Amino acid sequence: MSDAISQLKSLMPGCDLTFFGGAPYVFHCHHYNLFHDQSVDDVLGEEAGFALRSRAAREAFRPLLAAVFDAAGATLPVERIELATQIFAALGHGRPSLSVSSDGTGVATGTHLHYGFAWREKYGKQVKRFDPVDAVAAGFAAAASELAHGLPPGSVEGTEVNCVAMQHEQCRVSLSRVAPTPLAEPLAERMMADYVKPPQRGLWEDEVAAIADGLRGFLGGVAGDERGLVHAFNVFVTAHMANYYNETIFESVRALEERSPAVVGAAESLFREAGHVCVFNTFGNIILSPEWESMVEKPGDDPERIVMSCLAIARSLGFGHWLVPEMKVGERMVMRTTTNYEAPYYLHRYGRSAKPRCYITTGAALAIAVLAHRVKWSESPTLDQAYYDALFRGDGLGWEAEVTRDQTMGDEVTEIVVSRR
Amino acid sequence: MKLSRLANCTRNLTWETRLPEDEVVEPTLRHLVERGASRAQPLPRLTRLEIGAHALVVVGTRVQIRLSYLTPDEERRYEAERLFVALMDAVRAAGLTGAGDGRRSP
Repeated sequence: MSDAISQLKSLMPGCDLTFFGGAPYVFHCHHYNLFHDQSVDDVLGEEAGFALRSRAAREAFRPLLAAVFDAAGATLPVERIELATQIFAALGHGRPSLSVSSDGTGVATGTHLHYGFAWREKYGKQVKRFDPVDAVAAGFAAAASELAHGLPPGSVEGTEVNCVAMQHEQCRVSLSRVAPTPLAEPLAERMMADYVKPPQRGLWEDEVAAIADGLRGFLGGVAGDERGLVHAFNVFVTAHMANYYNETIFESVRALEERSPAVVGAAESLFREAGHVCVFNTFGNIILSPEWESMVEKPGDDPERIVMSCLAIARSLGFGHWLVPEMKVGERMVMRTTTNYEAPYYLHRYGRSAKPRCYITTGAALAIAVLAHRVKWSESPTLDQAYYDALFRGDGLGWEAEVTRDQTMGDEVTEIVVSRR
Repeated sequence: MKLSRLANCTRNLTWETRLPEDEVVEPTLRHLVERGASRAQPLPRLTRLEIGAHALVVVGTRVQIRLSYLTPDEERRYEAERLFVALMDAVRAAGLTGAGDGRRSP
């Protein structure tokens, strides 16, 4: 990545939000990504889910690609397509081959796109899949095609016709022209001042901030390999557009609120569970990694140290300014965010909510308490599906979360009180 | 020394072992470098050795064997064991005992 493009990355001081080309981005692992997308499909159905995910990816990648093309002075379509591919790969999404005509139509292919490849790694031996998974690559390819040829936003659509998750040899996205659809104005760094609040200090603040800085520096050097994948911390990692995650969650829930209000609660539970999946897999594997042992410590069984670690990890991943102002080990933990990556998007796009909407943050708070109290870190636990099920499903949880304040509702902070049942 | 598979996330791609003692670490790493491994120190106290397509990540006496994700499923165990044997050989070559015969966890 050239210096001009690298300089497009920024950190909003005090907020622990990260931006690339003005677009907010966060790190998530393949477990989270697959669970997130599956949840969207569970809520909307596979066809509508793929359409929403693809559209959200197209809208989320457009501002980033536009900023990159501008910074690099790339004006020719061929330059722009090449640059777009490099950026996608650098972010850990895979390295597609894009072949696009001047009318915007064409194909994108790839053998190691993040979603398809990770799905096959995770489930390929156990589950036969009948639907493609690479909506993000489809949306990205559509955005790249539009911008390469100066086409209106929303005028190219990507449809994945082959997918390695369906046991095809390679993924293949077909790009076709559609009637342009107006885009919602994407949330960007320059608008954030309206939505972020001054940072507060929590318990262990100085240590949290120092570890977050160190881990952020390490993550800054992580980039996709020759196939455009990032295999780190025992997971496949992506740097991903926060607007993608937010649009797909909020649009899914709001669609259900219009059509089937009786089952909205189930959808919201799914997206809160996505927060569990994230903390269990990404945070857990970071804490167990040799890199963590080198940078911080070998994890032990002190719940406060695990909570402190999780806050630092969340900040370093671009999730926002997470803190714990109050904790009584074994009984109660209060987690607060003065900024998180969910609320600004909701407020920007929809205005104030009548109910709490920081689903990932809420699910993550509960998961942090569970990981801090129930996992024997000193015994190097195996963070597999069976252990996840034992901790988070059935009667295993043992803890409950109550949202006492939520920034999507206009509150100053989001606050979750996690208590032992 | 014992080789354990980490079942954490990606299937059979990550394995771990421990070197017998702190004094073994540096001579063992030097021996592996002499045998063609490339060495980097991306973080304080952490060494990364690239061996072919795979990597050994070492912090203290802890050694994590990270196989390339391109390794076919059916070859992953074999590849991990091959690297484990190379590691034991390096410990022995460094003039130290304690590597034992090498055991694999169930």
